[in-house]
Amino acid sequence: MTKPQLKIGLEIHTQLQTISKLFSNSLNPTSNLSIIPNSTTSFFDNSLPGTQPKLNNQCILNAIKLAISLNCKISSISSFDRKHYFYGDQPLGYQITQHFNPIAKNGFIKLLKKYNPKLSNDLIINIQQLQLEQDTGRSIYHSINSNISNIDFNRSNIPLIEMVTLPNFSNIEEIRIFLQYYIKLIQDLNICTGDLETGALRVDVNINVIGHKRVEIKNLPTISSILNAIKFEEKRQINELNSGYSLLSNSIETRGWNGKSTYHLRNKESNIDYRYVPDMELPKIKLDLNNLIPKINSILPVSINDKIDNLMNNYKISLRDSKILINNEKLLKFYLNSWSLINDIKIKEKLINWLVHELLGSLTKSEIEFNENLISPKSFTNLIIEIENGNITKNNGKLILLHLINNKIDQSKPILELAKEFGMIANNSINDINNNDSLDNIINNILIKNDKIVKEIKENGKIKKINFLIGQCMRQTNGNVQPKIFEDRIKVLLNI
Amino acid sequence: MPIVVRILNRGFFQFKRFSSSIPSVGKKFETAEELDAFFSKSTWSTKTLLKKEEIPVEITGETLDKILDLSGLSKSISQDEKSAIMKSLSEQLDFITKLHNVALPEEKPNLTRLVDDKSVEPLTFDSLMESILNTEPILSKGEIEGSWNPLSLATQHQNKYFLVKEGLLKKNK
Repeated sequence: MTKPQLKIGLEIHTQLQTISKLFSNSLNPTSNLSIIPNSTTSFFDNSLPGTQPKLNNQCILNAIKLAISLNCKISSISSFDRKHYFYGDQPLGYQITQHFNPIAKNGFIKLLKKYNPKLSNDLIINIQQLQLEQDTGRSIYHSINSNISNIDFNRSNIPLIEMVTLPNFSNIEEIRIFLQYYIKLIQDLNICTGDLETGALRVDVNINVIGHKRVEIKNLPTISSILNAIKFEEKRQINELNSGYSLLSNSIETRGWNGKSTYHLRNKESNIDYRYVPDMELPKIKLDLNNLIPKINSILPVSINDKIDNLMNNYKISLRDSKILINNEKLLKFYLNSWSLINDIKIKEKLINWLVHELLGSLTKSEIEFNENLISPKSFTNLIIEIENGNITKNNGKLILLHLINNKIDQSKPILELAKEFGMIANNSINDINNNDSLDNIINNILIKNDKIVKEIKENGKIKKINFLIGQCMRQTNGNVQPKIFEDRIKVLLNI
Repeated sequence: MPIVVRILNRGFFQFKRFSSSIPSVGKKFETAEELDAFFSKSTWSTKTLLKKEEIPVEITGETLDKILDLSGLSKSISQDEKSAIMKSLSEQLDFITKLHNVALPEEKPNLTRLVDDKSVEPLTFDSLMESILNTEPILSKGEIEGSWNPLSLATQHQNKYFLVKEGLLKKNK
């Protein structure tokens, strides 16, 4: 039996990284959960009687930046409404949101297969609307059976943009790609930290397999929890369908995620009536779009796809490596600086490999994050130039790279001088070998010790095993001889 | 019932505004007696607003339950209390009906808004940026970090947190 089709839509709350809150000028502590509870709240944030909201225009600027980037139609007039419900973290009794006239509508994100090889086709995700609204206070529950909860109003009145997509997703890969794109976008626009873990970004999932009613999943604090919850829920719904599920018997359900499975939170049948009314204390937002849109457009950063195109076309970098660079601002800057220090086009093309694979690779092993103070672009490129010119072997080059990172003072020394100190100047020809053993002696010893391998190479045609012999020779010569020399000589001696 | 009170307040405000917008200036009073005589005669009474409507708006038990739900109030109340609230709600709606029936001038103002939208100029890039630059926290609004202690307003709190007991817990939602 083929799997029934999966339909997924996302509802994303993005906390704006503004100096102050949405309707007051108290500090916006977005993403900072270590701040003292109830310390960054104004009278309005605590809903004290007599206080009134006043819109912070930085939120409008951020909303327009996002709306332009998401190809939305921005409204010249939008307004705020009150959404009423009672909850301890919302003492006003209502949330100020944009129900009737949101700031932007009808946008889309195009995810192209060209930049995302894991997509089966180009994918368009339609954005229904963007609305500005207040965050609520944060409720802290100590245990499910406790009758007490604690409330911190630092989060109260932090600006949020609620974005709703149409159910355009049909698998988790599409969700993963979309979320990675969206997080990168809001970070590039500098409008949100993009942290899921701190709740600066909150993603709710609307999901159903065809034939099942829509289910909403909440409380998903990481990308992997989002993806795992979707996988679980898909299976659960299919099982329900297979065991005689009736569309009529179930109302739309909200479920949570406990790390292993989704679980029932509540049904949405309990006639929720938010009694939306226009907020009578806030003037409408009026925008001179002809003036605003081109000017804000001109201060937006280069789009993610344009950045990738630039790296792929002008620097001949693979898609994968381009993505690594654009996801790390410091690394990208380091790369571009290093690029400008190299003249030889062939060595320029090797740069990305040295940076992303050798340098990042060894940093990852040492659990160090890349930063621009580890090594200067000059020292880094000088080393690569010497390696690529054959004056230092690749293996020794890697060792010198680690040495330079750990001993910054040596970064000012000429690389060849340093290599000489360590006895790491490469021998590029047989004549260069400057020790008691001749090259052939070394190789012959290795061949005798590894007669089984030699036999496999000569008799069974396992030519690739020659690499093992080269490795042994390299070890014998402390890595100072270029492997190509050994390879050529071994082939001569073995007559292959 | 804060919402009902709010509607009443607003409605009354409109009523006054439009009834007094049809002025009739009579002859100037010559003596204090004339003035007293004028004020001793009532021409209109708020009591007329409390008279039952011919077709009163009926509040059913179901509607009452829903309103109690929406207001976050308990539904575990006696039948007498329920009847009293239903009667009161019905009277309030009679009052609202009367306000609705007040004749309005032809050009209706936007009655749902207290703020003046008309004088708001559309934001341009320069005015937007300028207003962002000029945004500062104000001490008298409690906007400066650490300038006041919100917990001091609560009769009970726990460490640095406000405390909510029962009724509004996650599991009940």
